[in-house]
Amino acid sequence: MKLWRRLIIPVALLSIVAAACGDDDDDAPAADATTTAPAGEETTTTAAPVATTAATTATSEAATTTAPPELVLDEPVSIIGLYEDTGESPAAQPYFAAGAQMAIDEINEAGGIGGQEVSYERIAAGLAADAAVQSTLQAIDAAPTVIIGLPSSGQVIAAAPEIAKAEIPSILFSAAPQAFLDYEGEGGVGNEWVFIYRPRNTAIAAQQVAFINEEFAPSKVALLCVNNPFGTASCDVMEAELDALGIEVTTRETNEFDATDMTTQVLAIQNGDPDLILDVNFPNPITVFGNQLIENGVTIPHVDGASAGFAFLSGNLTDEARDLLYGVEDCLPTLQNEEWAAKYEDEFGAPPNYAAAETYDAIYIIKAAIEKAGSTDPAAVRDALAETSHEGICTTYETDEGNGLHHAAVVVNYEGGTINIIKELSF
Amino acid sequence: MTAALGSAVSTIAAVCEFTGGKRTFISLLFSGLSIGSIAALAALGFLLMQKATGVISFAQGDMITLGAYIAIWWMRDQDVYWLLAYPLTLVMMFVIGIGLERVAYAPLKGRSIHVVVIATLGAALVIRAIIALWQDTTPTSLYSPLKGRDPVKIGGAAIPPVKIAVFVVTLIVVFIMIMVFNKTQFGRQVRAIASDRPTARLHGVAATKMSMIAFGLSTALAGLAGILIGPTQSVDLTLGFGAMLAGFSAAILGGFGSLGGVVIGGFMIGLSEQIVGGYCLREYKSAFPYILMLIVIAVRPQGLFSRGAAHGRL
Repeated sequence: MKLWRRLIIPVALLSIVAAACGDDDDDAPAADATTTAPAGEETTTTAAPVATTAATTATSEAATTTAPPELVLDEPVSIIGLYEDTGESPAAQPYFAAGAQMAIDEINEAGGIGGQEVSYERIAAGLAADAAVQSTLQAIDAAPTVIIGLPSSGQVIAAAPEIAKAEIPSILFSAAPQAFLDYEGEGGVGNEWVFIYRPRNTAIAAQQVAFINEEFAPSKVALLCVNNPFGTASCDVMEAELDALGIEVTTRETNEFDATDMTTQVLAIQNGDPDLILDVNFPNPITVFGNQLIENGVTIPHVDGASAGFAFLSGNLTDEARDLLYGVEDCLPTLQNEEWAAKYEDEFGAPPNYAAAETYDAIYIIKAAIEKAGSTDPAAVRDALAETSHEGICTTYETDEGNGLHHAAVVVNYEGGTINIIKELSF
Repeated sequence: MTAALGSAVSTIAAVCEFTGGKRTFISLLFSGLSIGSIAALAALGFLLMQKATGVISFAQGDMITLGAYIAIWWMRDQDVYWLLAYPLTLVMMFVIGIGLERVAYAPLKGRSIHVVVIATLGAALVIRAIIALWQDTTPTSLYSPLKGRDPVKIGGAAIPPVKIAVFVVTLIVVFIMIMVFNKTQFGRQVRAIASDRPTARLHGVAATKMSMIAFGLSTALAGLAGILIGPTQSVDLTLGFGAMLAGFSAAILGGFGSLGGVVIGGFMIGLSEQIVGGYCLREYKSAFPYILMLIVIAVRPQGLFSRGAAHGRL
């Protein structure tokens, strides 16, 4: 039998699976592109008034003054970071490793925590769930004081149960609602040992609807949702919020995370004649979609989440598509904390993004928690993390009932090729 | 019969939305032709290599990615004008293909064909890692003189010039390939090897040389596909994967039999995804080409355009 015949069936099955299934990695830097970063967060409370530019200039050193100065620890302090660095996979980004390293260096230069130098190790955690679990088990074996990392929801959902069993306090980076302690649906993995430092996807989704209603007052909106739990959950929230506001959803389209042609979605949306598009997507599809909207004469606002920033930075959006695009960033250090951003850029040769700022903040949150606990006892550190109140690079982190720490974001646009803050959100 | 037909029509009416008129159809048609063109180029690469060497190279997808990155390197890092950068990229890809043949195929001659196929997978991973270390993993963009140009209006539909260019370039390349394989000594030698390798060698056909050239040409075709799709999206390490899957499916539809067959297979892939998926069950549109492929495998395993045992033909 010819070789190609023997290969047909397995390859055909693989092709079907690859074509029909989406990636779960909503938040992580994509492959999707490619590079991925999710958007969105949790349930809404109040939106802050419109702000145009930067805000917080407080440095983390100022923010971590809660430590009792007399604290002397007998036991070592160790932190393990579970994330990749540039070159380790198509999705790998430098920001997590750089932000953490910057904070660790500062803390150790200032004498460590309780007189102990902080030992820090990074383990490259792949985006696939099994790879994330393997890396997490490797971290658990090393019995660190705290684990941080796991940027993708898929990673967190797979690894959180292992962390609960190991009883190691952890600050994880997923924004999926299932990762929060107060999640009431099926498949929740939140537990008392896991704290989440990104805003919830679903909260951001609700805030995006509130934003477009205030800013554009649309009567008809089209939804575009990446075909994975992140896209579906966020679009479900958006659809309900739009419905509550009496805004008609003309079309709800989906795409795969690795879509390279969005003609069918663009035409379907165009035929619905909406006033605006709400998009929950990955960077590469945002780019393709944005450009194809313009090519087809659809010149209405296109509001996405955190991935919009990656799409903008890729340089592949046409000027017109870029000027109609809006995004939501957890934190925009280059505008919200210029002093810190400049320091970061001096050290790493490139400006920071939200991931660098948040990872930097996470290290200082751990420092504050250990100092508050007065020891590295896991339960004591966990309890201290549950009472976190920490002024970070862009916002003040406060632990909520779901063990979520982060309750702010900014809506931005990219008009004229620069990032502009349109509105600050808090919830 | 009438009842069955009526039932089929009702089903189609239930799952399909034929909205948008001529404008939508023309847009979907050009989109399908553009996607099909890339699939056809990738399929040609598969076919050429398979005929000359018996190997199906799963490094083809990463070669597409590499082609885009090399073009970016010429234009962005070396500041070479696009008109020169594109041909230079193709030349480099040809040389890289020959290198791949020497590294991943020649040393394994005489080993099981499965070993060679796995070696191409290994080569794919190495290529991907090299690109990551060389160009970083951050998505980037590939320049095209047609990117951002005003769309061409055809029948009320706005067609991006890039899509038209992809289709036209593919047609030209297919024509050249057909000429090469039917009118040149190289073509006749490759066809002879594809038909009966031992006999061809006995007649003096330099199989090693043919194999190197086939790898080179196949890789250059992948590079061309990379140059063509790069400007339509962000370029990252996964750029070529989808094109490789589509190309492999196109080659299966065409039956790995004839050059024209795999090209038509490529267009069937693109059109089934865009036209069928554009009107019916849009959420599943990316699965349609592979459903089509499975149907063809089930109904006509030798492919749509192969005639029984005529797999040796090119």
